[in-house]
Amino acid sequence: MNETGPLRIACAAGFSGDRTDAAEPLVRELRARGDGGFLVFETLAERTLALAQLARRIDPGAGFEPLLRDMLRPVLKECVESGIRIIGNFGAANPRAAGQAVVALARELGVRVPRVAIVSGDDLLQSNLLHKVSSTGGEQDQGEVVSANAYIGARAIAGALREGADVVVCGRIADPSLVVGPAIAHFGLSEDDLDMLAAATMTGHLLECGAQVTGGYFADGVDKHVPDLDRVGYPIAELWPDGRCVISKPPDTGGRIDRHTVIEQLLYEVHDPAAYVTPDVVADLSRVSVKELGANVVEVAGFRGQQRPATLKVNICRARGWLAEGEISYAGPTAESRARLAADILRKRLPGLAPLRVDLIGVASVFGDDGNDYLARLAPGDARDLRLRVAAFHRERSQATLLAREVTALYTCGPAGGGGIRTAVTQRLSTHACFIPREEVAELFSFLEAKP
Amino acid sequence: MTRLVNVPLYRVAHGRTGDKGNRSNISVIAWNPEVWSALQEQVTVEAVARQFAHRRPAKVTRYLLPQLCAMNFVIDEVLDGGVNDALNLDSHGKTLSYHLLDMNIALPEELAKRYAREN
Amino acid sequence: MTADFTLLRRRALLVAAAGAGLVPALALGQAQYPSRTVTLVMPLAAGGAADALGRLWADFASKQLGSPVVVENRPGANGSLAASYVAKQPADGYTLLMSTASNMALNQFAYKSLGYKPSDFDGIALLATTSQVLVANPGTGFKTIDDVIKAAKAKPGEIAYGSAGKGNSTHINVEVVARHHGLKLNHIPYKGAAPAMVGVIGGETQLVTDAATSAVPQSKAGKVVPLLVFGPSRIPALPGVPTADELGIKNTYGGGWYGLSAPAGTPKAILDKLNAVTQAMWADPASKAKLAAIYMEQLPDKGTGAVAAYTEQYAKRWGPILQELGVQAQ
Repeated sequence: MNETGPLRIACAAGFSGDRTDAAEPLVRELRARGDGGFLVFETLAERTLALAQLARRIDPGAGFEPLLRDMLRPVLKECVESGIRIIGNFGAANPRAAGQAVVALARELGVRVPRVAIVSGDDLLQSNLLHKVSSTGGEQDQGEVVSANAYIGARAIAGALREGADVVVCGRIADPSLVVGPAIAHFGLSEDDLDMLAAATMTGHLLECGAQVTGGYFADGVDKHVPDLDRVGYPIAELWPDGRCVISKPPDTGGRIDRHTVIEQLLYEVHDPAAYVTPDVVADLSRVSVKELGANVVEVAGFRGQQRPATLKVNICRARGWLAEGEISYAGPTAESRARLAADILRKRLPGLAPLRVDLIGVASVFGDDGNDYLARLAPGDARDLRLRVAAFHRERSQATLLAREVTALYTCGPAGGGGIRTAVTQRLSTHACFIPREEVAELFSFLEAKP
Repeated sequence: MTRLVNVPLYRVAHGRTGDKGNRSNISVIAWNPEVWSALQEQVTVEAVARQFAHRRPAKVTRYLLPQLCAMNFVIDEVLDGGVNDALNLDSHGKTLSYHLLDMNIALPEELAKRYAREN
Repeated sequence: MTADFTLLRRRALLVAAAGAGLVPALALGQAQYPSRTVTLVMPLAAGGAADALGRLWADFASKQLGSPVVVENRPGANGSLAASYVAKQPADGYTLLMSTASNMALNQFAYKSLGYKPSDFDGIALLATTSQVLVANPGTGFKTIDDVIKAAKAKPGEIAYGSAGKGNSTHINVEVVARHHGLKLNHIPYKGAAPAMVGVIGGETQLVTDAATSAVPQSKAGKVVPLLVFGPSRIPALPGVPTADELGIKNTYGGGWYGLSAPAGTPKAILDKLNAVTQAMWADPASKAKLAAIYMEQLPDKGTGAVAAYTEQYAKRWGPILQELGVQAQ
């Protein structure tokens, strides 16, 4: 398939928990623009996969994106009937079960059952490759390994598409591979088409957070205006054979695409812009041009590519103890001094949980450091409506729970007028990044046989 | 001799935070090319390190994309361990872009007028 | 007629007085301009996008000037009739012309004798530009310009495209695309944009180019499929349709331009005043929205000299193509 027309690809989800109603306008617009579009879903943050593994331990049929059916139900029929192919990492820790859920959904909707391909190779526990990674992280308070996944690239996705997959279900992949895979298939790219691979990678990067490029996470209610965020349009990218990427969105949706929203997303999670490392290529975006082609249409051009690395990045998640949090509100006159008094009491009651982080939400919270330096330098004030939050970590759940108990005890033992206590004790998962030689990992795809 | 006036950075530029482990990246993007040279001169690695001193970063690096009037700061070890280790409500550090944008920069009076708040 | 005589005489007095150094910048009569109805003469029939543009300006200008501004349609000969009429009117600011790329720049290549020349006018302001869209009959299966290129290369001379007339911008735009890609297309001229659009919808032709005001609604209704935009930027209602510029096809005609002109010799203060009204219109959010609704876009050149500059530019760029195409109207 050596197409001269652009690759058309839309993203309907930027993370697990994103809106589930973004796909319909995208599918409608893709159909209007021509044949052979792609729809991708990115739903795997670092922690999500580890949590999915835990879910799968409890229920072997679980471990994939819980909102998968909600995301696909509105558009599966239309995609299958119009040839728009779907790719997603919503397989998480159980791509096979996710694939089966897609087939079941198709049957439920009375649609021709799509050809579903499952990508595998990322799960190093499953392939028994943990011993091949560069370092497994184990510090003294680290618990068992919950998940170990390599960030594989686009090769398997491209292969599955070439063999006629309608839906490609992945576990852990490098997010931009959701676009690089279709690009390889659409343009017939080889490993040496470095500049096009870089353009496809950065197109994926622009798309992979959904509305973050179309005006989401941009407005400030003062000068940065974005219309109709309640119905923000999600992005559609055109990748042209000359490496230009054009970002637009369905007409009649909210949002805003201009050089400012695009540059914010372009640099998001990028370190050295001359070397954005992915399993498929090392992309150089340091010299790109950004041009507004019209209202809500922006072109980015000038991506360059370098040879991909010899290793794949690996994410190892371990169970690591417990995070304890407790909050209580104070309001009206003397609210701040009452909150500070409560913090003092808790410090004295919880010596075993030091360092105890203290936030005065409404005065000093998210900017502060865990060592409470920021708070210490703040002169006490007269805040009249604030929420005291304390947080601590402990290897053992029973110790962590002490924090919750002590915060609750403030109802009778603490300062006057405190209310609205909430506490939480949650399993901590640590993530550790390391590497594995590329040749150790077999990136495979296989088709799900539809049961008769 | 042009008089210099302090203008908060968020009136003159915008940006977004990303995180990877214990490392934060914050973009600073000029609203208009006319302020780019002031940004280059004043929003430096040292200035940003000072602004984030309370978080004790190990290193601050600045990358420039002059054709976009944008810069990208990479701040190492600034997230108290990052999403899985920090005790912060915002362990990703997503709110930190506005901490950086809270810095002041000095602009010539004529230029500053265009960016100062009316009320 | 008495009125003309009075005005002519007043002008003569002003000229004489100015020569005597007795008259300040805003001379007699100008300080109160306008003191009666101003007429904007339109070179096309009522009802189209250009007409809507002229009426929007007239309406806005009336309010700004505090005096009525009316529109008079004098269509014919690609805008020549209106131009030759206004050229003969007094240069007092009370008769204005909507100048267009056609009547200013191109008609001289299309007509043996025009009855006016571009230098018979003083420019006031560029009003707007609009885009044109290349669309296809849905039965062709064409969804992108690449589909057209492939099909045209496979079957040279078989794909037909309509236009609003030989030498018209809707003809030139497609010609430039065909030359860029080395395509042999079959040109079918119609007498105007409306019959050309009817032709493509009915399947008489496979392709046509038309102004956005008509092409966009037809595309939205599914009557035609949009393929390419001729204009400075993508059209918000068709965000997925690229511009010819984007695809590296330079020197397409686009949608031409519309401007305001007055008979040569009109006092500078009047030209400046009317230019200011035009800039104010584009700065007014309500007007801007109305203009966007008829797919009009502002041009970057805002001075009074812009009309002359664009006239020269267009004549230089597309005059030769018109001559090559052997365009000659009656």
